[in-house]
Amino acid sequence: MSKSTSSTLKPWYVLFVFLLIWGIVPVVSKSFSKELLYEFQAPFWVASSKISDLQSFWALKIHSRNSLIETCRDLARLNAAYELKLQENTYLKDEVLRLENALNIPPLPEYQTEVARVCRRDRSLWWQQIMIRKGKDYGIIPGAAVVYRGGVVGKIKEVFEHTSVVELVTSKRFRVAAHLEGDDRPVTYQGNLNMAFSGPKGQLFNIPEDVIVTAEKPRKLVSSMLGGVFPDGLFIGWLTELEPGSDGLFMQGTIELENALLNLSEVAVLLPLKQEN
Amino acid sequence: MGTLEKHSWFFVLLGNILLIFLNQLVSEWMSPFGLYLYVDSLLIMAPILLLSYTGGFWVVVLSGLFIDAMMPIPYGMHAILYLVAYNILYGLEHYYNGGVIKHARFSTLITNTALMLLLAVLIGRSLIFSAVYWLNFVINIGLSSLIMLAINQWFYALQTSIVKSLVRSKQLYE
Repeated sequence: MSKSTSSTLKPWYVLFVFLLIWGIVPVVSKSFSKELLYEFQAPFWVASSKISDLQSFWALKIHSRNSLIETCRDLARLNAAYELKLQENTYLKDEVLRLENALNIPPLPEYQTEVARVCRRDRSLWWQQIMIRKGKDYGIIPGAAVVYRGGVVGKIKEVFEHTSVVELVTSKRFRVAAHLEGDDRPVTYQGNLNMAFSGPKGQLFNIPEDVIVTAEKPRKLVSSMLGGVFPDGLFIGWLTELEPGSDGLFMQGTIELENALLNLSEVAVLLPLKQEN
Repeated sequence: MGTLEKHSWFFVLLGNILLIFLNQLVSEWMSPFGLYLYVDSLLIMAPILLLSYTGGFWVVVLSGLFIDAMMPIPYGMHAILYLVAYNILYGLEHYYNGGVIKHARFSTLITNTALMLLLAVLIGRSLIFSAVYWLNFVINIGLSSLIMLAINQWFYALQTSIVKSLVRSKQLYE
């Protein structure tokens, strides 16, 4: 073999040796180096998010005193409304507890809420996820439900030291049991491929044939306890279109999700509380 | 060879890491519109322009692993794809006697499109028969190519200035 041929092939030998070594490196070492490189990058995103928060703070500082007074007045009204709801909630909780004891049924799962700021949004062709500024340090666990004021956001996918990754409800990899409001029969929700410059959409499967939906009267899709992740009744989206399913027994449809999911700045992680007996 | 000269690959890697962060930052701003920026061929071309094969090899591997760590894909996927692209470009560079470097802008565009196409097939296997998927792909690759045309001169100049300030004796673009 001539010298020039061997020098041309040298890069390919090197690549082959690298692939061989990569193939035999233990998974533990790969996971360790992955986590190391992730943790190396995470502070950049946390810092970038904190700078953004600071910008918002200074932007709010330039608001006039009048607008502050107006906001305080609106908040006072909201607080009054929430106080009433809180009293109603306490009564309903007692009622649920009484019925659970009377009928001897297992108690409903309870959650502790951990509010976290979003520090990175990653929506590509292939995945849709966000990074939040709380991780193992706040007891976040993989699989925990993530919600916001508008309903379901997604599920915790990976947890790191000070950050966590959330798989968004818009992602094709997100799948959960749900039901239509006022109809307890379970259906399956899955995220869908979203077109650029358009609102987020999802897909709904296993819809019973007697469900009727029109463009004027869309049906509300809410979370179901059957999935074991979300509490019952959290808003997911609107069922706007129906078509026959591939199996011929059920129908499938399109779910329109809220545009607010694309600009989330704060979410809440629902951590299941351990039940006492 | 001075200590800084020996470690010039490290400074090229730092330049690549800066580009990775900027890329992800811009992608984040564009995410509400469902757009995604992909300019990864710049990470491969810079080492070809400025470093020896071995130095470039490590820069490409580490840049790939750096990206893989943040993404929900098999760890090492980008690193291996980049290495294959790096080897092909390195081979072409020697075969055509400097042709790749002479047409760096064109080579970067072609490599970027090829890499993104490969990823589209490898990661989006279940979607390859969806028209919406390919339409989105075309929009993203079009936008990425436009942005890359605008920034590649800047990026190569940045990397060159870093290495030139460290490596006095080495002839760049030889």
